Amino acid sequence: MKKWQITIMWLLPLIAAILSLGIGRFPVDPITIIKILTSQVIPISQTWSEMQETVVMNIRLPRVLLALLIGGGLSMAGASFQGMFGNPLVSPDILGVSAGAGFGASLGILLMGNGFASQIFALVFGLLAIAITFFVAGSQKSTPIFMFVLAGVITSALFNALISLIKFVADPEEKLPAITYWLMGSLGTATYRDLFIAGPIIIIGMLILYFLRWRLNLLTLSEDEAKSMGISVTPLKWAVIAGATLITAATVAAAGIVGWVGLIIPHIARMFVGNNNQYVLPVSLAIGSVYLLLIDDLARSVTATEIPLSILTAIIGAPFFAYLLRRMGGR
Amino acid sequence: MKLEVRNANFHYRKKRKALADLYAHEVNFTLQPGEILSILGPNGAGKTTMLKCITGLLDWTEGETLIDGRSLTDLKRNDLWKHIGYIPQAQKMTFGYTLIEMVIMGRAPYISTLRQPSEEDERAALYALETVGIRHLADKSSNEVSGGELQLALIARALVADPKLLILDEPESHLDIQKQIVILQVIRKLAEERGISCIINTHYPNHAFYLADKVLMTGKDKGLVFGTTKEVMTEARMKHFFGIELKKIIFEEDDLLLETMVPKALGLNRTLSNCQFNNFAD
Repeated sequence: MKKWQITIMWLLPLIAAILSLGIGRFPVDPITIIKILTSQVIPISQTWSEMQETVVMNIRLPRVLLALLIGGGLSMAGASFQGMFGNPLVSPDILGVSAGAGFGASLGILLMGNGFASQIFALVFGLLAIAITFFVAGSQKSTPIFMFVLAGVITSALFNALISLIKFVADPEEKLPAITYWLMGSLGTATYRDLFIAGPIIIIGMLILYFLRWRLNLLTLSEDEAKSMGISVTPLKWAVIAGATLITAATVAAAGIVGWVGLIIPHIARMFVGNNNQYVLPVSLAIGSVYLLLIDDLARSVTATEIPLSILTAIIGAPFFAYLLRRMGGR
Repeated sequence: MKLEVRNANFHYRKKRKALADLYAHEVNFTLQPGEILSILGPNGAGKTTMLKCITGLLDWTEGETLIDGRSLTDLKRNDLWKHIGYIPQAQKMTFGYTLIEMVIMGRAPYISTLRQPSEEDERAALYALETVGIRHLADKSSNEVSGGELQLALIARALVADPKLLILDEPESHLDIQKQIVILQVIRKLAEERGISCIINTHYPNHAFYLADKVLMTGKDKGLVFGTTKEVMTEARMKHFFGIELKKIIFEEDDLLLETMVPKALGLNRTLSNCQFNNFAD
């Protein structure tokens, strides 16, 4: 990639973020937003109302930042898994993390209502799910990749059944809608607390994947080929899985299950830069963060009530992806 | 680099029980720098397993591989793979890389875990592509180029780590004759000009004649022979190992010497075919 392309790529999320901060039932123009943001660091004379500052800083900023992190994180996780499993249909929830975290959150809502506890539950059960997947896949010296995938399918099935069970026993007036809504993904209740819980975990996962991105290419080779490059295959696989799992579990904890992003964004990135993960991952990060941010803008501004994210990511993502696939002939 | 295999054998395990030894007796051979060793044998005789054991991709169950007198197990993996290049059979991949991206992967032993390849790595990759004669294909996807070009790229990928020993697993199979020749010539050039030792699995006796200084023939219970190509590749031994009669043919013209072996069973009945020719001439 050329320098100017890289610059544009990293500017896009920034521009999208500034514009998004102004969108909503209480619009704020971009210049004011930039002023408000600057005033947080260096004092400048106030030309805006307290109301504007509250809306931008306290309501919209955490939400915008979370959307960027979640969209970018899921896209990187998806790109890593697709590369590692050598399968274009893989998404970050392939190893059962989403289902596990979804169950944890549902259980949390059922027992203690929507709040901090349900988020911790989501994280814990997300990690538990990956542990089960590894137990099922077995601990041989080198586990074939399809064993991971099959084990993930089993784990997902188990936790999805448990989610159904919780929905079945949940109070249909209050808890059931909360659980259902939550499972479709939303940033409607995003606060700084969510950002501080999920943000650092997502960023750690991103850093792991970002630094290992070139090595990821080696994982797409056969085991013997990879070994013959002098790399230790198993620890590398573990590191990638750990990074992607941290991102996915933290995402579910903060915003529920957000589908589609981790599946399609890596493909769009590959259309621009080819299959070299050294470039696919950063480009996925940039495109994915902008994509989810725009989706979330729609979710909160199209109708009076919030639209769940997974509905929009699929309704907008699927036709767009279909269009790209047809135009590019799947290359 | 001098490669020695001493008193080595291998057996697979099934449900914790050791199966019978894969080789009839212990493998012993020495390969000097720049020498080419060809491993011949019928399918299932453990040719690929032999390559893996020699390089430590699998562990010998007995004996050891020595590199310049040092046991393979004493060497660090990363250092080891700077000296040995492993070239598998070319395969298509789900996500094709450009040839240059693929060749850069061969630099992995020189790039620390959290780093990305540098411009120097890219230059080395281009140089390696040039060595095998396909620099002009650097930006083509590995899924777009022909099988022979992909195989050359895999050789370049091994070369880019500057190895002293190349391990090639049937590099010329699935290729048309012209591509086979290109691959063989590249391998020979590397051995002659750069003193790189090579170990090659092949199914073609004439390829062994062209390339190999030494031949190792294996055939499970039929035995295991190691020696110079002339010593090992005799009609009697081929019959013993492959169960068919091969005829050695020597063709000489000016300073050209061509040795090959062809299966007798594919010969035609001369009297019959002569009749056909005569009829045709009428």
